[in-house]
Amino acid sequence: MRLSAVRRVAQKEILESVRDRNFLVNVVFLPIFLFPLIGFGVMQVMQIQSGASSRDVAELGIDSGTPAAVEDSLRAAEQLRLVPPPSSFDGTPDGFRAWREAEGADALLRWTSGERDTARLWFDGSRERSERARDDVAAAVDEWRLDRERGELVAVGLSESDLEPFTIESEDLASARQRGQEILAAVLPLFLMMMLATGSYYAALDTVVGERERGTWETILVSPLARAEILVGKYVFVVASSLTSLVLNLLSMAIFLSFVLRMLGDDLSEKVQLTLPWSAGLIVVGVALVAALFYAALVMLLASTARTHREGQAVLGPVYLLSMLPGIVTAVSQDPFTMKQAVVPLLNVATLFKSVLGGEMPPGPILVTVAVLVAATLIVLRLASRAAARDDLFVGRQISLKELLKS
Amino acid sequence: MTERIRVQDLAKTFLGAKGEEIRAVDGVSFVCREGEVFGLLGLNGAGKTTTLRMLSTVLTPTAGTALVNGHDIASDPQAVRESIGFLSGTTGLYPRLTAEETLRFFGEFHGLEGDRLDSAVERVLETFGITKYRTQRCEKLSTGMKQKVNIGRAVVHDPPVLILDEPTSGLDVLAAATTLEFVESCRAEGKCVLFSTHIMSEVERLCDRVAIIHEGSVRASGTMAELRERTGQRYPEEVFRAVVGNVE
Repeated sequence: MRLSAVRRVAQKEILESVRDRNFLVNVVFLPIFLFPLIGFGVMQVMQIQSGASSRDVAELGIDSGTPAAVEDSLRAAEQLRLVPPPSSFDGTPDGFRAWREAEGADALLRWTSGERDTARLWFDGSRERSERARDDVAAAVDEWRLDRERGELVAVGLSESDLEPFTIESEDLASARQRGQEILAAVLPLFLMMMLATGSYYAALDTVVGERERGTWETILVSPLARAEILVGKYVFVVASSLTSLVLNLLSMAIFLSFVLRMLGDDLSEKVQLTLPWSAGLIVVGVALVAALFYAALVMLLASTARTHREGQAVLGPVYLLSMLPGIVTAVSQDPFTMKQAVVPLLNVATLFKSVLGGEMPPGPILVTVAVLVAATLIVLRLASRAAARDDLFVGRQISLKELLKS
Repeated sequence: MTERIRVQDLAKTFLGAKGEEIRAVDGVSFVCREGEVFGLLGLNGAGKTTTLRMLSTVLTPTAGTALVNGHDIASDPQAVRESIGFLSGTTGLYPRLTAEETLRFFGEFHGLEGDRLDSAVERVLETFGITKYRTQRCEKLSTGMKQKVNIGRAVVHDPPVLILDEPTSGLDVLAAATTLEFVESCRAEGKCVLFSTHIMSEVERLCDRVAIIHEGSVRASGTMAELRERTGQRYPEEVFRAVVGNVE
C-alpha cells in the first residue's frame, strides 16, 4: 500500500467535505455550538421559570377555626394569599373541587378543634402552585406544633438545652477539583460518545454512500489506486472527521463551562474546579482516538451495505442512536469500571471515560478496553474491505450484513 | 498493428436479487489493435457494460482471460488501470471539485507529479477548451463542459488504450459531437479505442471493426463491410437485426 496514494484520497475527501454545507453544519458547527446553545437554553428556561414562579401567587382557603399562629405564619409566606372559602362551600372534597374550578383556588385548609386538633388540607398534586401551597401549610403547621410542644415542656420545668440534647455538624471534605471531576464524569461521557458518532456518521454517509449515488465510485475504481488504498484513504478521512467533531466539542465545552463558572461568581469557582490531571487527560484522548478508529470502521462497513443516501440513513440511523446508549447508561449507573464492561465495545469506552474523569484509573480494564477496540477495529476493517471488493454494487443489489459476514 | 486488447472466453455470473445465478457475459472473445476503434454493439442488457467493466478491472471475471496492453486483468489489475482511460455514462465527476482539481487529482492518482502533472493538466484544459472554466466546480458546469472534463479526466495520463462505454448516452447534440470528435482524434494518435454503443450512426462513423454482442455472447464480428456481405443487408440496423434476430 502506497501512503502517498492514501494521502491523496484523504485530501480529496477533505477538500470535498469542507465545501459541503451539510457536512460543515453537522461536523463543525454543531459540535461548537451545541453545548453553549443547550447551556444558554437551559439557563434561559430556568430564569423564565424562576421569574414566573416568583410572580405566581398561590391562593389558599382557610376557615375560621385555624389557630392564629398558623394563620400569621401563612400570611407571612411570600407567594401565598389567604382567601376565605365561599359561603356556599359545604366542607367536602367535591365542594373544594367546585370552588377551585369556579374561582381557581389552589388549596384549602380545614381546621377542626377538639380533644385532638385535625388539620385537613385539600390540594391538586398535578399543579405546581397547589403543591407550593401544600408545602407552605406543612411548614407553618410544623412550626406551630414545635412552638406548642416547646411551650408545654418549658412549662413542666425543662430547659432549652434539654430540648436539644445534641447538635449535628457536617463538613464537605471534597476538594474543588474532586467536585469538578464528579461533574465532568457525569456530563462528558455522553457528549464524547455523541460527538464521536456524529463526526463518523456524516463522513461515512458522504464518502461511501454519496460516492456511489453520484456515480464517482466507478470513476475512482478505474484509476490505478488499489482498493485498499482507496478504502484506507476514506477511512483516514472518517476518523479525522470524528476526531474533529470531538475536539471542537471539547474546546467549546471547556470555554463555555469556564464562562459559566466565572459568571456565577467567585464563590462557586472556589467550590468547583473543572480541571483534569494530565494522566487522566492523556488516557481520555488516547482512548477517544482508538474509539474513533473503531467507530469509523463500523460505520464505513455498515454504509457499504447501502446503495443510496436513504438506505444509508436507514442503516446508520439506528446505530447512531444505539451508540448513545452506553453514554446514557453510564450517566445513570454507579457501577465501577470492571473487566466485564471492558470487553463490550462502546460500553467500555463510555464507562472508561466516566471512571477516568471521576478520578479512577484501573489499569486492567483500561488496557483490556484498548485491546478489545483494536481487535474489533481490525475485524470490522477486514469486513469493510471485503464489502468494497464485492461486485454487487454494480448490479444494483443491496448487500445484507449477514451476507457480508458469511462472505 | 500491435494488439492492445485480447479477450478470450470471458464470462461473468452474478447473483440476482433472489440469489439466482445470472450469466451476464458468456464466453466473449475479441481482439483490438492500436490505431483502431473497435465497436461493441448490442442492446441494453446484452453484456457490453459488464465486459468493459471486467476489462477495466472493476469487476472480476468468473471465467476466461483478457490482456490489456499486455497485462492480465486478473493477475495485474493495477498495471491494466495504468494503461487505460475509462469513460462511461455512469462515471461521474466529484461535484464539489473544480475542473482543474479533478484533473490534478486523477493525474496524481496516475503517478504524475510536479512539472509533468502541470503540463498534462494544461494540455487537457487547452485540448478540450475548458481553460476558462478551470476554477468552476463540476456541479456548476453545463452537461457538455462536464463531459469534456470527464474525458479529460480519463486521458490526463495519456493512456494507450481507451475503453468507452456508451459515452454519448444522455448527452446533448453538441456534447455528443465533442465526444465523437475526441474518439476520432484518439484513432489518429494511434490509440486503441474500445467503444460500446447501441447507436448505429456512431458505429458507421467511428468503428473500424465491430463485435455484435447479444445475451452475453458475441454473435458476429468484423468490419461493417464484412457484416453487410455476410448478412446481405445494406443498413447497419438491418445488419444488426439479421445477426441477433427479431427481439421483443
